[in-house]
Amino acid sequence: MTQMKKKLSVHMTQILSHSGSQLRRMGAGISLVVAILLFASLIVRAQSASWQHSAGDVIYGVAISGDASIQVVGSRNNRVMALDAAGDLLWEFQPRGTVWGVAISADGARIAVASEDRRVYLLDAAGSLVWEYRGTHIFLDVAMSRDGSFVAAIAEDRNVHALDGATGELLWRFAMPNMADTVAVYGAQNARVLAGTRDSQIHLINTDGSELWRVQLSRAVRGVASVGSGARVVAGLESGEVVLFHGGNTQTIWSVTLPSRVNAIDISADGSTVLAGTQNGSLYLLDGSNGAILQSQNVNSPIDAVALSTDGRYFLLGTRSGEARFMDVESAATEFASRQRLQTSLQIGIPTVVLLLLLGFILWLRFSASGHYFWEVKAARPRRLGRQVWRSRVSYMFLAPTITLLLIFNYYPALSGLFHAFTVWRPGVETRWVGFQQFIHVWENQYFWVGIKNTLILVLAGYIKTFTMPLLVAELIFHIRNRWLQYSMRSLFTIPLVVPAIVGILVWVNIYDPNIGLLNRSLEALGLQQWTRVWLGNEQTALGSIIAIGFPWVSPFAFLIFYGGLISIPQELIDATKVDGASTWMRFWKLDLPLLMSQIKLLLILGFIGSIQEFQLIFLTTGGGPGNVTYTPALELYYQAVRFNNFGLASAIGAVLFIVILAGTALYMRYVTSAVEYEA
Amino acid sequence: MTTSMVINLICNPLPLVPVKEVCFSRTCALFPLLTLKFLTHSEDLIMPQKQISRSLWLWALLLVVVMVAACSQPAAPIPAAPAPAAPQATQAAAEETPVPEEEVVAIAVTPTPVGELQGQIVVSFQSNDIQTWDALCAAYEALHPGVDCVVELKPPDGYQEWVRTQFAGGIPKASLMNGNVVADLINAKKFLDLSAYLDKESPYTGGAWREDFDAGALSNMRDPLTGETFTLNLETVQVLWFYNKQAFADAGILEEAQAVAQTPRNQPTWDQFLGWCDALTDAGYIPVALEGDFRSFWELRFGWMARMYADQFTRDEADLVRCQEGDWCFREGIDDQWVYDSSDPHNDNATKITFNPVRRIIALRDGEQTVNGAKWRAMYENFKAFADRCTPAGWIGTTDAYPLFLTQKAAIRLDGAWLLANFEKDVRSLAEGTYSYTAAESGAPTPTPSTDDLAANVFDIGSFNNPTMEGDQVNAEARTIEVNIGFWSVPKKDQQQNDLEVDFLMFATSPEGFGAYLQNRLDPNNPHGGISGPPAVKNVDLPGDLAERFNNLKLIGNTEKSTAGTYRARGVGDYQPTVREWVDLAQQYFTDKITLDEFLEQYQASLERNFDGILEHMRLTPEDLEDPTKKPANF
Repeated sequence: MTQMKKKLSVHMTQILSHSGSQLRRMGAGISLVVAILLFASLIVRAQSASWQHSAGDVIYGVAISGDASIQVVGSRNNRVMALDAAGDLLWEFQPRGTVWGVAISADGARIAVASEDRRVYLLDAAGSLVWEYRGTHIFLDVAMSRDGSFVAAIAEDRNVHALDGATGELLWRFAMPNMADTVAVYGAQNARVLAGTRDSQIHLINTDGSELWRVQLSRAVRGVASVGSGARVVAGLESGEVVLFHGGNTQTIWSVTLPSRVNAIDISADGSTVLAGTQNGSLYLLDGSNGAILQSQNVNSPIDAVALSTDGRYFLLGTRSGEARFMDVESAATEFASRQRLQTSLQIGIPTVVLLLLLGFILWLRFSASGHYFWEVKAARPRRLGRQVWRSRVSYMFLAPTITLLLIFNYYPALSGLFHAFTVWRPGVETRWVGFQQFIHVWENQYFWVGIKNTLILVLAGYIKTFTMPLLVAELIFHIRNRWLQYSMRSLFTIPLVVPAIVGILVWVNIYDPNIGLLNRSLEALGLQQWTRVWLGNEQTALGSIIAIGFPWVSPFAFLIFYGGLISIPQELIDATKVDGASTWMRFWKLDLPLLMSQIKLLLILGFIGSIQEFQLIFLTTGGGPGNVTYTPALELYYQAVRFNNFGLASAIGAVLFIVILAGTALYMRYVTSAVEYEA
Repeated sequence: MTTSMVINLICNPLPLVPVKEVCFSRTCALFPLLTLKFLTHSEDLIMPQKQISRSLWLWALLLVVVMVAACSQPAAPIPAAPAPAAPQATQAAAEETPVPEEEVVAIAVTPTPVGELQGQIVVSFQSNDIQTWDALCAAYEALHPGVDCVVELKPPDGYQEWVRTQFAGGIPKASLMNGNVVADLINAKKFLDLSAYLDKESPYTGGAWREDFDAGALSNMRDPLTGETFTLNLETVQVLWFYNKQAFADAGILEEAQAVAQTPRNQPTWDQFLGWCDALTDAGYIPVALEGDFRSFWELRFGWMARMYADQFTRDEADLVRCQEGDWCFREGIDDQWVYDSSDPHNDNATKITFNPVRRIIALRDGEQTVNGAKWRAMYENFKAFADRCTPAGWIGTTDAYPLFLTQKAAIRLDGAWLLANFEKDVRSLAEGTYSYTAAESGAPTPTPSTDDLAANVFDIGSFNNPTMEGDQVNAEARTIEVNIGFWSVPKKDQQQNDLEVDFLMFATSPEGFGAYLQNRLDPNNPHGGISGPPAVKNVDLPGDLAERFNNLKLIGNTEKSTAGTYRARGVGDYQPTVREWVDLAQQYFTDKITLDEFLEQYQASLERNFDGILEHMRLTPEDLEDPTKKPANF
């Protein structure tokens, strides 16, 4: 039995020594689960795209024929490309400017092109020019009736140009009240034009050029499309909103808000499907009946153009990176469904795995010998700690709000700053990981290094100010024999603590004013005009003037610290010095100063931290000038953040300052002796 | 709960779909067995360490197999599964009347009744003039009881930072801001394009809103490239030099100055002007009261000088950077008619020529537009002479030199025409100890008036236009800043809120609203009042004497517009890293810390070093520079 116990004990020790690695391996197992599932999803994704084609520049327009046999792509590099269903190039046409929009008739026989060269081109199925229409301004978008008999284009002159599809003849022009970025046409012989404007309106213009209605939406219209009859009109807005409304009575049927600005939108001929491309590179397929998101995918580049085939089975998109992608909705649906399942699996599976692991751990503790041993021996201290916490739960409950607020307002911003030091960070615009690039910029920043030099001077000057006058005043008041007078003087030197520092600084700015300031006026009154200066504006005197602020530098805080230290010196020691016949000077050096080392250490550390972080004083007096002679790193941090909108670099400066402060404080803590103990 | 149910819960929580039998029979069955074996073992079932480790791995691996096998779908395509509606979707019932595709839908629109305006307007300009804005708000609220108009003005110091913070936090609460301090945010279209409203009817005048403004002023507010209008600038300002007639008389130069005033442009030469400085110095005056701090160099007086005089030396660069035939910005009938004429001060107005920002940056990149050539040397030599002979020692770093002029210590003041409207008030406020630097700055009121301040009296002032520099490098006579200012901008929000805010602007720019505005701005008891110049709003008149003062000014041409080369006069545009480095270097040059050569070389190096940032600031990309004929992708 004893042998068995020994064996068991040895075995348990072996097990326990490896329990940590077991847990780590379990974690690795979970990671493996995630990795394999992600890999599986990638395989599925890679199989689903029908074709991709690079246009070599930003794609602003795409169009797709009714049966999806021809796709047209227009791009910034003056290219119009026609591709077949397999993605093979059929032909290419080159206008003289950026292609801002393309349209195609349902049978694919006619293609309209809106170009920056102030022309609208009409091409046939072979890519040959049928006609071109010359305007006076850049054409921003173009649309065409199903049969190709009618073309509408919008130009920077704010006009909708209606053209005869057969001849290119101008039928009419409609002056929009504001710039329109998007146009759509529905109908055939009785075609109507929809134009979406930057002031959030959609205008419906009749075949004869008269306005039928206008709809006011909430934000600028970036895309508009309609079903073949015009019974459903869908608009994509700058705010990310997609609105579908009845084309006859303009009543909103549904609206849905996507996470990013909608750049382009299309709807299938029967209105069953809506396709939206967004600024953040996401493509959304929405249910035309209720706006539900049927599927989505991200192509990692803003999508500026989308098109759906008439039957809604195929779609084509064009991106800012110049990629055209053609897909059939079903394969995209498969991909989306797979990804959704993966997402759901991860959402449910990972917590389940964790719960099972937890359950296993509990059962292991409960039913195995090794678990018992672990619970009784290794977990004893944590359990004891837990019991203590529970006993003091009321105290912890009261502490919780403070700790929570500290975490939210102190620690979270600090950690956030640390993270953003490795990014290009423009709040609300972008956060891009750049590694140590911002620290390199800090290293190359001349203002930072000038600031470092100034900071060293400020630290030194600060110490001189802190360890002279406040200590002297504390000693003097400590030695006043009259209790009432001593109390009064102490109060008088302490009262300035209640005055905000900013007030004191502004008073000194006034004192230094070259025209009306007390200093120059006093010098003039004394006949010392030659001594007057622009104290804060002269590079020879600016930093010195800042250092001199607060003269005679009796910091109430330092004074209180020193005074507190002096009154805590035991009376016996003071009496002993008297008995030994020590002079006041000797007592200061041999008794007071050694026993004030704790206070000195505190002020050294606080003074160091305060000087490194010095910002307010410089900002309110010189703003770092003249030139750069009074810069400090903290001021540069501020400027980078709020003046240059470069929060990433500001965070990097903050991180560097944090390291400097941490290192400096650690050195002080390590090498400055706190106090000297005297033995009687 | 059966094993299959557990698996189902894992893989198909909603809806509960049976897991395929193949999964259950081959792999999933191992799962509970192994789990049971692992979890319910007794002491005699304790496995060796390696076995436990292996079993853990096995367990994890099986879990993977289970997940993949049970959760993956077959390769065959499936129809798009309906997903739950997006959380923010709203849906309204609509009648279904299918329309054949060959036909178009019948139109049956019911006009929506216009409701009473409701909402909140927050006025957050950089100003201290609460009186005026309170009065405007009160007048507007009286017309629209459902609107809450709140005045939350901000001090000029730190205003730019405040505006940035508002946008960084999302959509700003403020309805009205001064957009000019954040040009990059205007470029990023964070502010409302007011041009969309100009043709709408103003309910306060009954006509199109554009009819409420002076056409020239409206043209100046418009972006010549895009036609957009992001700021309303309603007061016309001209920058010129004011002088104390008594001081000029004391220096013996009054007659000369008055003779210049009789010329068509009221413009002395630069050397003549420096001579006046010498005479004033000899007479015991500080010649020019000028600030030299960062703000002065960036956005105030010395910054004005840098921009105004760079224009004299860069007018001939227009051909290099203008929109050429084939460029996206080329306007037929305008750009093809343009001919360089340096004698015409309006030769480069937006109505006559368009500049291509891409060509500018290409010229900067390729060294065709530099800041260290002979022309810049000539200009800064003149500036140095000005600094040495016209400004007091230590002017660099001075934040407010205006009291020197008001107390007649300094004889000349470079200022906007607003000085004509504010001069008496400023003298009085200085004497009363309530002076603050209202012209363009804020500042703490002088707490105790000095003897000199109390002695300040109104004195006769005269004015002259920018002294014109001369020499081989000069292209044309000096022009000045003749623009409309105000820079009222509306942060872009949802259309309903923006419509409300623009309605307030329509009221403020109506004769009724702007009349109330002027009345309060010109109230002698308003310590923060004052106007910058004649209003650009129609049907509003200034008091007779003030109107006459403004009318006496002679216009000499505007530099504060899109020009050929002034964009690099003090840093590039408002791109702050280059502005700061220019200020730093220029201050070092004027205080003799560096030579002119060092200054110009380092400034040129600064622009080259910051080129990528400049490009981004101007919303351009390296690809845009490959072909200047094309509209930049971000425009």
